[in-house]
Amino acid sequence: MSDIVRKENKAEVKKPEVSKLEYIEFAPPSDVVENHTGIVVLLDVPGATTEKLSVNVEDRILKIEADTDLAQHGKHVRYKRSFQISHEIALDKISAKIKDGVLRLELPKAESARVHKIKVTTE
Amino acid sequence: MLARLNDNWSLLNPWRTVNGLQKELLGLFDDFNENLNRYRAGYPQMIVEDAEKELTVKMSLPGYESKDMDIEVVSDFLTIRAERKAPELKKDEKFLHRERSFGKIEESIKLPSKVKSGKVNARYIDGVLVITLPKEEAEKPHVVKIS
Repeated sequence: MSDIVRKENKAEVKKPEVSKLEYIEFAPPSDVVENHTGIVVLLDVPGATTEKLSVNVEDRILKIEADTDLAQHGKHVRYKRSFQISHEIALDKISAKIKDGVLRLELPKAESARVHKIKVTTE
Repeated sequence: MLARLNDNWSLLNPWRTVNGLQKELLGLFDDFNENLNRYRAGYPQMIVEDAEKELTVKMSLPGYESKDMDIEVVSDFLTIRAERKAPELKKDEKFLHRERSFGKIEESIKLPSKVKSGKVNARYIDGVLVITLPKEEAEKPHVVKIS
């Protein structure tokens, strides 16, 4: 009885053959830097290129997905990460650049969220 | 749990329970592996591809500069040294979150076969250091004749 079960399970293990459609997903490490004008997100995505990169915002969630030509254990390496964005960010002004495997996302703060210094003058 | 058992009498079949348990136990490890593959943090560090005539070593070095990388091949040992300098923040900047690592790294691996160290080629593409190492032709067995 137990042998039958084992055999079944072995067959199941072998099943996922090397397929180009299969991916290993990685959550790439990120740094988040804030300055007066906005937020900069830096992600280590080695092997990712502009052609296979998608950055989109939906319901204030910034989703990053990048495919690579790298393969591990017969599966393609894919990067996936998402961030919640605060209301201070101007969604239409988000920009993304990629260089040497580092993705740089610039999220400028909306004009209304920026700190405005007001000079106080005496009459 | 009890309600579910009462609803379905076939579940009370003792063999079914044993089989199910075994399946679950064996399957548990599969799921575990799957999950590990799916939710890995970071990125693949080093990938070695063994083709017929050459080896390809791919090492993830995002945001490095080629002048800060150093490759050394001795017999069938490959050593890669690299350094990534931490970015300096401007006065008005501050980190909200930090995960990326900086500094020096040194990785040494034994290659699956001997290589022609003079013909090693390295390129740095999209944050990945790709090193191609042509294999040394296999030594022919030396036959000793007994006179």
